[in-house]
Amino acid sequence: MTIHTQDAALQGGSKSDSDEESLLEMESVTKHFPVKTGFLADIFGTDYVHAVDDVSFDLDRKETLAIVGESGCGKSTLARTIVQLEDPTDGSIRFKGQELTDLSSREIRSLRQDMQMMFQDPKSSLNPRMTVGSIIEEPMKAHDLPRIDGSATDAAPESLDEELVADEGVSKSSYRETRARELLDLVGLSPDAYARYPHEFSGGQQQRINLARALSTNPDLIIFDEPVSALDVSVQAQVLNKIQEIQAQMDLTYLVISHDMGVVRYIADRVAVMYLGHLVELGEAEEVFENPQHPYTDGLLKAIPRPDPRKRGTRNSLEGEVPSPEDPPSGCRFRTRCPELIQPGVGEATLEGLSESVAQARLDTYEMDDEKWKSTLRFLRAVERREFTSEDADHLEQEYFPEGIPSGEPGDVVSEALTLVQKGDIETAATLLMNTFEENSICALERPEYTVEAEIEGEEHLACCHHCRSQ
Amino acid sequence: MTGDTIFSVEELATEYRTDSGNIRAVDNISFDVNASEIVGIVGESGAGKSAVVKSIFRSLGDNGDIVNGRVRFKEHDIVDIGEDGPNPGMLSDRELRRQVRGNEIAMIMQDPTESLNPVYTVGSQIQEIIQINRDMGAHEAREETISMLREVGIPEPETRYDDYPHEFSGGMRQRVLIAMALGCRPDLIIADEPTTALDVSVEGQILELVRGLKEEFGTSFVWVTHDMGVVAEICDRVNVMYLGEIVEQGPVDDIFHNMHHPYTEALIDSVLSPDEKVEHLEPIRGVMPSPMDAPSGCRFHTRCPDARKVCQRVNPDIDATVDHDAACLKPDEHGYEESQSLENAARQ
Repeated sequence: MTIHTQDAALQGGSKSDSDEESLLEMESVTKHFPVKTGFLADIFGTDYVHAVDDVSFDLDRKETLAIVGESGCGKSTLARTIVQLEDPTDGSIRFKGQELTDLSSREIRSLRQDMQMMFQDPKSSLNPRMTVGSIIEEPMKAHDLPRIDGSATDAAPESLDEELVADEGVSKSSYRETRARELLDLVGLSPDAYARYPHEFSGGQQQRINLARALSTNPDLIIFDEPVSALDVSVQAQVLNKIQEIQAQMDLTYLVISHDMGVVRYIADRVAVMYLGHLVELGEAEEVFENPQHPYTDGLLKAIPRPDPRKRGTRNSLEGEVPSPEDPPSGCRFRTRCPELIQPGVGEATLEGLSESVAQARLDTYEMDDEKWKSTLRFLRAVERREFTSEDADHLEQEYFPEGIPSGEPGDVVSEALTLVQKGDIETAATLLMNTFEENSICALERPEYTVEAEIEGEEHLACCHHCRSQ
Repeated sequence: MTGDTIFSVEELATEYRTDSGNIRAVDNISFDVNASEIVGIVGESGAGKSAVVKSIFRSLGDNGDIVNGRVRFKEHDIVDIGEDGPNPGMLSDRELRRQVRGNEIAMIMQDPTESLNPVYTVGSQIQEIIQINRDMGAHEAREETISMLREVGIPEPETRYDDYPHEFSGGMRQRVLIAMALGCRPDLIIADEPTTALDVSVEGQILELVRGLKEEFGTSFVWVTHDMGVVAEICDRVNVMYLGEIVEQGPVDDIFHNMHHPYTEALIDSVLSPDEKVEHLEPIRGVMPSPMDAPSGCRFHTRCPDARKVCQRVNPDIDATVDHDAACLKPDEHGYEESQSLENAARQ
């Protein structure tokens, strides 16, 4: 073990006396992956997949923070960045006060003892040719634990969350075996599982073995990547209850990556919602679930099928598809699907850095009433997604603007688009509508980031939506 | 089969041969499907859902056998196996392939990526199936393909026709598979966990689409899933499976609001809800036993909170002719009321 981590252990290792300090501080963490690599890419440049973009949050000791989002939103990349399986492109990650991005790989390796990760698929994360005992002991071996210290008072630690220090006379391997058996007991498996092989266990039991392995180095932080989504529902609660029980017992801090809002509500203290690499909402769990501020969070919650046939059809589905992370939309990344897009001219965007024509357009206010703007937005989306039943202009006008086309400039644009659609030039119509309405909305011009007062739980609530600007 | 029924499974039993003996994956199950109806088969892994699907298509593989039962689809006997082996009326493999599979009964699988050939365009794969099954010329089949793609909500189907599977997102690929299944205008579609691999927002879109298509084309579905939320969202009637048996069957509203079987109740209760904060969820105890050594009596008795001594002995029946029934002794069959509770017995 390096001196470095011993220092860390002295400063922040005893968990009780450093409660105020956050265990993990993420600041503007960004991870971009090049689409093409090699020397041609070096010469001509390449596109980047914006997997994680400018994500900041703190993780306090003993809390459970859940990061939710759909596939491709960057939540797993974020987790891999924290454990330094990926180097962040930009930003700072501080773990127990140490800047991880500055450390050498050797230093990071020894620091990983304090942060462990548990993966989704219980089967493929266990080596089928190793016994359960040696699987659990592996991380201790890798970190050469326990430390031998002549001044250690007792032969074996009394509780499982003590520093892994053994007396000179104790053999390391027998120490590890004792600890492995105790951990098996802790996660609810019989200690005689020690000599058996992973395939002899069910999925839920295998996930318990994974948990025991994650606990073996006595970490501070455990990152769970979809801990129960591969398990049957009747077993999910067993594993989640165990995970929570152990957190209280061993004062652990959890970061849970999940797409399952039910699981998140059950175990999380705070929730962060990600969409296309951005954090869109962050707050206390009850606050986010009961008072979602971002239309994406709201849509995600409404999209979940409820186990009640009487609630059928009350669900709204999120429309459209996630845009490519290679070329994410400007401003709010959800704006291309957002049902609450703000009409141009509303909201004060900073005009710095905008070209003159765009800045001029920004100052135009169409002053459509809500009804008219909703119809226009609905029409814009339909043209964008080519979702209409007829290409006849009169028919479309009746379907989307039963109250009549808006007056003035927006009306002219809508009429022009209708004519284009009738001519079959949907592409141009879509571009025209997009450029006039969506691209000039504050949602496209400025990335939203607001903190509102929490209503249900906690004090602050981060909501990255321009609808929160007045609050 | 009653007038409306287009598909029925009667007393189906399926076994897999293994080195350590035969495993009865499907044990004596019966259910039927009416025209324009979505019937769910729900259960956890190991319940035997996939074995049911494979039995229906007679595609169990080398080590699987249907040992008993009848599967009828309209006038065809897909499976008709009694004590003396297959009965003469049963379709031959060739007849099954030619007359039923694909054009009358279609299938949608869980993983849309594996079900599409990566080296052919999406359009050509659908067109091929339509040409073969509906006896159409190439030009006509192409038009039909494009209209099916439009039907399942793929924008600009004329252009997307020439795209390859990898150019579609997961949700769009599942739409392509639905278009492919519907392309032959089948009367029945067997869907095996078709939305499990998708994100919730996409899942919602697909379920909505299927409901609309059912109305439009009058297609029936057998919908296999582990997700009670999906069942509630889409099924008309439901069969709940546990360890190879159907333990409860009935209309979807009854299954969720007037369930009779403790397993059905436990399954619905263990779904973690995003709508309310649950402080502590009491899980179903234990795990599903291996079908290699299924418990005696009622198979759920080892995990059932209401189990009594009689449950260890008697395996309750389910009456498939009744609208809603459960295989449970609780409505005082075989002296359930007098029998000692297993929990009390264990304490003594």
